[in-house]
Amino acid sequence: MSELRSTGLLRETMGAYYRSLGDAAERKVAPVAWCTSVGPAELLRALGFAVFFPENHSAMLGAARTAQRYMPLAHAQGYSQDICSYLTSDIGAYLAGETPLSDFGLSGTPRADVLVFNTNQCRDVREWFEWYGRTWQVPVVGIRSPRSLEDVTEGDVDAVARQIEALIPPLEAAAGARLDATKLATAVGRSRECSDRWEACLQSAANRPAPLTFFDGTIHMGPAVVLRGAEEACAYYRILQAELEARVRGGQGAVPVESFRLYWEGMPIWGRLRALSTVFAEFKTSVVASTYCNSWIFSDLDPTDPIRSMARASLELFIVRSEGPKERYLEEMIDQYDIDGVIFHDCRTCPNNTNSRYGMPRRLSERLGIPTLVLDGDVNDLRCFSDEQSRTNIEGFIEQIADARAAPRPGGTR
Amino acid sequence: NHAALIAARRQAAPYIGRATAAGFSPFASSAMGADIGALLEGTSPLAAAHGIAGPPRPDLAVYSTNTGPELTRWFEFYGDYYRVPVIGLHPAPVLEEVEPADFDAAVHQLGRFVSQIEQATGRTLNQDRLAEVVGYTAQAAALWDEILSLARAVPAPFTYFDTLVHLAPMVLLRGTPEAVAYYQGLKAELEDRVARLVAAVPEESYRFYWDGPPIWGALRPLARLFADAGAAIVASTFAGIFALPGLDPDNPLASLAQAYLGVFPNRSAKYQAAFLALQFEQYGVDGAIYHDCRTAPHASQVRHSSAVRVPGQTGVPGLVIESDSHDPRLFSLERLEGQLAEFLERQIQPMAGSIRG
Repeated sequence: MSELRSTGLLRETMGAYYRSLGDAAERKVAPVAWCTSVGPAELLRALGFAVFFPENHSAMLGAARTAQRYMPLAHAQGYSQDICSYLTSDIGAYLAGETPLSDFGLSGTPRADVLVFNTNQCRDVREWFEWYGRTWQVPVVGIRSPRSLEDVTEGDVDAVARQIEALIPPLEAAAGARLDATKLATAVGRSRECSDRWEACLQSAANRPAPLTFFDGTIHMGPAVVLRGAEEACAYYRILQAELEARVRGGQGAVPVESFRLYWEGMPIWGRLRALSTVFAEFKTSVVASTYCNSWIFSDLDPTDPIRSMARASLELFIVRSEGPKERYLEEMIDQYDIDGVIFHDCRTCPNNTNSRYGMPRRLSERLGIPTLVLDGDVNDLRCFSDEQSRTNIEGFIEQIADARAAPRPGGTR
Repeated sequence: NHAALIAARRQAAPYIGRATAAGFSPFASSAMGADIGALLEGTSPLAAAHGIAGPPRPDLAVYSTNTGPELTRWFEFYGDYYRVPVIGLHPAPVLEEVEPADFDAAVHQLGRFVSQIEQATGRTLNQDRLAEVVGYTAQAAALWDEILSLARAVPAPFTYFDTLVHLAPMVLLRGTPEAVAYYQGLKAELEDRVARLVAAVPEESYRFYWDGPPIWGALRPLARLFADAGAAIVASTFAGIFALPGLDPDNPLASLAQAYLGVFPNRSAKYQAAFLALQFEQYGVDGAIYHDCRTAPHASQVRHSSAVRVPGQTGVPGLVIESDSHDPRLFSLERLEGQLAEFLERQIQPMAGSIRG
């Protein structure tokens, strides 16, 4: 598996971002806002906040496999082992007084002047931010988004837009600045460009062979998560997009031999990205697309209507929707990426972003004739994941796909 | 209610197994698993209990996510199974305060909900009839609230386990005069018990609170276990959910929006902790049981540290029990006996001794 050349620039971009957080929090060059991963980042950026995304921090703890050390410290505070392991990893790391951000010169996670959540993804994010709000005695504000939507109606968009507008006065107070409409439009415009370019990068994997995998995506999505609304993210994805287009033109795949193409539904298993990517490559399989990486595509953002378009984009997301729209979305992805099988990650501590528990794999399988595999694991808690069991399951799954392909198919359909 | 009936009759396990075989995970809501398993099996405890074949086939499936988003999945299943429209309310969740924007959005959603139902049924909502129904619910809810408050008396005239049985009319018949009449009768009986100092638990030594879902399949052994220990569970978050406050027949839709938005499961941990602290004080409880319900993450508020935070705020010790609302494989009476004995010995009795001694 050849590393993308852009990876060097990715490291520089992310490093500069983390150092800027240190400048803001420790040298006070800007106020600091914490934001949930799909919260109103554009509004915060327009108000001049340095924006920190604790979910990104938790993913770093998971990828570094230090989460295991930190989670028990949060459990000791009464947070269950069954709740979001992002929350328990991050709060545990804070209690331990440790952070991987120290590699970028920070003495700790950047202390917030305000914490801003959106419950469009789950309730845990509010409770996570409330813990820091209590600890630091700083305001916690946010959007109480409706959930499990079949359709996103104008009424839903109006309601969330009104909540975003209501955030402006407390955020202005925390920032010590008034919101400038031009800056907000600029931030939304940049977010949209970032989203469009990130989407183009991901869609390059619709080609055979796919020039990047889900595992590459989880790393290269960094700027779309932490720098959306900023020019640096757009600049990064212009370069990445060009490299991926060149790979496509040159017929260069992300895995040496791409015989099978899979879709990953659910959270990544941060502590096992490399191990899993090696297993799939060994079985000549490319995991070419995922709901997770696609979740940072916000095609509804519109700089001419910033707040309403932010509201709509936050509601159109997969995670905010009911089973019907989710299944239709997966069907579209299976078709678009020419998928041979779907892996559902049953993420032990993330029921909200686990879609395998209520019959969806079987329904999709029966309706579309596509094989599905449920893989038990967790986003950060590796006690819930078994390398051996997963390898056996994946191997069996690929064999099943291969056998089905070898067998004559009536009517030539899948 | 049907799932609770299945569990209370200790029939849930095979039905949950049936749902698991149909693709539902063991981590899926066991209430949903029990109900869907029974549906797929084509049997129901309603047959033996009431002589009807099973739950009536719906023309419409209606839900609200105010008690958790997984309700959507349950009702979508019914919609697909019966090929009927599924209409939902999606109120703003995890509320600390019910803010004007949340309230207005809930009213707007209810308006849309009414239009969708009118379209699906071909009927028009009669505002006078709605006011009448809301009026009955308001009366029944107020009576239920007053009834629950009677357990503030020492000794308590009834326990949490009694409320789980007697809340059935509030769940199934709210909006009808029958529910109002039932609760008028029940209230009179319980007031009489209070006047005569009738104790639900003879020699009530300790007063407990129950947070989290009931364990439907073990109500009787649990009631006996606590009674034998001299502990009356005098109140619960679960029974309190149905004391819907603020319903107003003069302002039916807006008050419905307000009441259903503000229910305990739809609130943030901060609100919930403050609510529990107030309840503990009002009911004079010595300890709290926090049920961490394996297959109901959204109803297991304890997972967000309430069993550590609330005792810190109130001095009321808590016991966290891990079990499940409907899946009997996740409940062990022996384990709970041991936990309760230790809780009484280590946390409750020393405190009671210091207060009373």
